[in-house]
Amino acid sequence: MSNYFTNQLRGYPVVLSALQAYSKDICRNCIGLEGAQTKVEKGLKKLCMDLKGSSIPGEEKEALLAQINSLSREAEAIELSEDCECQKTAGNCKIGTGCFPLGALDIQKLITEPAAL
Amino acid sequence: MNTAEVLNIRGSCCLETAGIRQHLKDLMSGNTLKIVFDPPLRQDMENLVAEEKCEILHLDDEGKSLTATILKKASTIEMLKVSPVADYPTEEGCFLCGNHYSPVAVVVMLNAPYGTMPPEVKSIPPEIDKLVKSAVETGAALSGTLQTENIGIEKIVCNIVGNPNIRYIVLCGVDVEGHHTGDALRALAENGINQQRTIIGSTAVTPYLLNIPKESIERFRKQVTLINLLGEMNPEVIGKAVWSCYQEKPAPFLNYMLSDPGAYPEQPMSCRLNWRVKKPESIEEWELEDLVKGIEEEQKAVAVPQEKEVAVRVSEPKVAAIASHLLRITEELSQIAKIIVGEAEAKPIAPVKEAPVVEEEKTVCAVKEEAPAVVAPAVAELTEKELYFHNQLRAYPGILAGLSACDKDICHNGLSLPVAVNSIVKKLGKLKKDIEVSSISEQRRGEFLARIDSFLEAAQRLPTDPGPCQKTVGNCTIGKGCLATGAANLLKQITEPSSLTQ
Repeated sequence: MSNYFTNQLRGYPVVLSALQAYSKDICRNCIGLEGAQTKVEKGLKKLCMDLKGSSIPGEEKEALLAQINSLSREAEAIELSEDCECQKTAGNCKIGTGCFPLGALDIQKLITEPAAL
Repeated sequence: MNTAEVLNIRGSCCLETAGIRQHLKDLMSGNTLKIVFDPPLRQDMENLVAEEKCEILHLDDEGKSLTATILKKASTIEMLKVSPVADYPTEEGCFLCGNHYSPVAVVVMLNAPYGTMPPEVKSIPPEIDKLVKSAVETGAALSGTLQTENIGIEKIVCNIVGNPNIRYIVLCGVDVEGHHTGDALRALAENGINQQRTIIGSTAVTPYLLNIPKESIERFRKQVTLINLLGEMNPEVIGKAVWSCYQEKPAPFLNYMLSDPGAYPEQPMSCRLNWRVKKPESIEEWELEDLVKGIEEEQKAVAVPQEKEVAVRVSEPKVAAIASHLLRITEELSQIAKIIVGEAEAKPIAPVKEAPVVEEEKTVCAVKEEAPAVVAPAVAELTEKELYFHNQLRAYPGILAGLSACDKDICHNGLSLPVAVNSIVKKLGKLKKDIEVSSISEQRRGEFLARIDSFLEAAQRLPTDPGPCQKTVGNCTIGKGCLATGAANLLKQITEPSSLTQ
């Protein structure tokens, strides 16, 4: 079971690093990054809940929880403008239909095993 | 008032047999009738007069007989309409207001990609705009568009319960792709919400009604009947539905029999969104239970009466003493301020020693700049070629940060990370060459090349010598995906301009 949590926690640092990098770009003013940040925060919260309810031995659980907490702080620290709006709509982002923060978020979806708890 | 007709029924044992009821019925409103009758029938006469909505103006007692002058009261019209709440419509939205006393509101689905509409919603598709306008012109109380299955529906509920005259909602237009908002409104009317404030039986993705009281939702369901014309875009059909709703006598419309039943027999509800949940679309199902619990606890806390403030009586001498004390404190503070100002003017300002900076705990993320520099280029000023380079370069900070994070994991010894790094280095090299030979301005060229150099420098810190695949070795068990490749693929988010040749 701990493999599930370990694998999930391998994805978040990659996602968060990319999101932090994009927060230095116009994405800082964008609902795309705002939404991705929310998704990561919620994903970590859910992971924390599942982990607390799991039968993983205490010490290992503590280590994983510490990792989740650290990642949650990272997610929270992503800098965003107070009033975010889609930068495509605002005319500042012209990369096409894609979105860097949402693309970064999709990295987490590459983790497919173990499928679920 | 006409001259009174006189009926003499002395000797009759019963008013009914004397045909008095019929006389009273036939009496025109405002007219009078004199009836001479025997005293034992007095009580019966009073009862009958009341039953027939008349009143006895005079009753002359002549001993052996009584003469009643009876007036037919003016018929009162039953008031079936009421005024909406003072701040009606309580919620703003994309709708038009018509006659407040109309029994019907029209909801047209706004099938447009969510979030693409500007705030002022000036680009509503013309066929939808036409439908909205024609509904109000036909006599609807409200007519507007609906896009979201949560906030949008909540606003509708608030505006409907604020006007008890509205008894029908005509739902029309093509349902919103992905959101299934129209279906959510149908399901709300049919089934209501569950304990987790989710619309029962809705196919919408996030049909959560978290910003309005449950009571308003229940009231909404009791107050209105939904006329489901989802998919219908013909203004004539919608117009017929609206017309049918305000008929006095039941009028057939499709499978419905419609007529105006008058206002809902309860007070209007002044209800607004509390915006506790601003983005219901980002709520996950597993969060709902806690969220709803929090909302309900908050409501209970609000309902608990606050402790009464205790009025403290202070005697006049005490008030005088406190005032004198406060005055003394003010004088002392003023003297202290003068001393500080004097010292500050006499001495040169000494540099303030900075407190030692405590280094933050190192985190797993690779990129962490203290003062983020927001790149805000005026893309409108860029040529097509410059935009191509600009867009390509925007991807790399995220890619390199992602690869750096992979480097701190088992990917460091693996195969895919070096492969991804080498690929990125090659792409940056190609981009550099393209920039060097392109016909862009020297200033832009310099900016772009400087950025590429900084990316190449960051890439050089990453592993480039392939090791064994960590899946094959058995260390990576995440499935078929690869985090390093995923990070490198962020470049694929850029699709415009598609190439330099365009």
